[in-house]
Amino acid sequence: MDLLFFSFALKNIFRNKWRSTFIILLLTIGIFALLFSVTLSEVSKNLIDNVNESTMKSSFGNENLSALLENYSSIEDFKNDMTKSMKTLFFYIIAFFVLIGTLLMMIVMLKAVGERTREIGVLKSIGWTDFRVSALVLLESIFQLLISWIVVIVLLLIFYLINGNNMGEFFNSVHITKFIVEEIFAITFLTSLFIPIIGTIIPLYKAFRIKPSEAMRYE
Amino acid sequence: MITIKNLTKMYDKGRTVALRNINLDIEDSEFVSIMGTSGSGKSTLLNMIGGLDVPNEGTIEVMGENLSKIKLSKYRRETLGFVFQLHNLIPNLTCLENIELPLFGSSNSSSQMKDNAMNLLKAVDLDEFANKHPKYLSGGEMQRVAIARALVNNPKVILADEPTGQLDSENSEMIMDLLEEKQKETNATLIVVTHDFEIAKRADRIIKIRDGQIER
Repeated sequence: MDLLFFSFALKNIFRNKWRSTFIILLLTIGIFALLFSVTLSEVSKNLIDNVNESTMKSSFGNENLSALLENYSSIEDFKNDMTKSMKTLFFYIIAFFVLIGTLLMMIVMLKAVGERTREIGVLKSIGWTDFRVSALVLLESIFQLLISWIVVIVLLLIFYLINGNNMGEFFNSVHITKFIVEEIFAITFLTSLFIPIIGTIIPLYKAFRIKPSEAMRYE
Repeated sequence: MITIKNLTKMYDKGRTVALRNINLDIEDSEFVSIMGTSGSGKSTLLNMIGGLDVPNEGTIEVMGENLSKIKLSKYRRETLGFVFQLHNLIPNLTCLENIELPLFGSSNSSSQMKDNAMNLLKAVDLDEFANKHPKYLSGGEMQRVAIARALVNNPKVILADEPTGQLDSENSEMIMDLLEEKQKETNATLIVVTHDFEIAKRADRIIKIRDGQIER
């Protein structure tokens, strides 16, 4: 039973190939943007953690360092403030990508649900519950995200095979394998899950509310 | 089997009355045709019996259960089989998968579902199309698949809304033969909405509807 349900959701994704390609491409770009934002956040944290008086002196010079630390009681205080600022900055960057992804997902899924009003009416008239129809819509958007993740992982692996771990000077503390196996991957994956879940709330509601008798009149 | 009392259905906040004070009894295993012109309210009545729409006034009881007091999705899944004017098959599913759709949420195993669906495809003589998509079928064949879908849950009541409306006379006759044959095999109650007298006269009883009321 469940297998048919899953295969139905998967087939629905590829019903409109252009739209699916478009959304998977956008999600792929979005995931990369998230991945790099989370990575940059980690890199920044590492950089700040490694700061001490001697590294700061060599970077800024004695005079500049005194001016820089004027408002701080200690270097630790300065580091804490920097970490806090970085966290806030990256939180907004990540929230921005999630918001854009969520909005795009919402628009696409609303269109998909709208086009299938009659079909949803048929499903309900043959006994599907409102919840089952909504679950189908949610599953479709989660599948789109998972397909995008597969594309991202394949692209990262291709990049890894071509360039090895070398991500350039800026990322020298983060190897490409870290993207796939470590917490950066987990954080990005969990963050990206918000996109289909929040992005389909309104389409889910729309599908939930469709009355079969009205949907059957829909052309 | 089906008892309808004082049924009234209005739209547009009461400005349009689709059905007015309908009283009707339909027996077990009866084949009933509902006839009427376009807009007379015959499809609305069928939708009410099918739990697709709810009345403003009155009650509908099916097998002793008042429809306003039961879960309609369960009722549609377990008691009814719907055949629509347009086949309404899902284009990206195969014929076999389309027939399995009403069984979602039932306690049947995946292989049981497949077996039931396959048996029905054989019964409507389309087993060779099991793994084909509906677009490869003719109008009559698609409607036969739709009938198989309506029968897969062994319904006690089969509701058909203009099942031959889009078909030529040869296919219409074949579809009606099939519906009648299956109704007799399963002892289901069959209610067919039509405006075609040739179809309607095959029934045990013809109910004529005009301006939302049953003609006496």
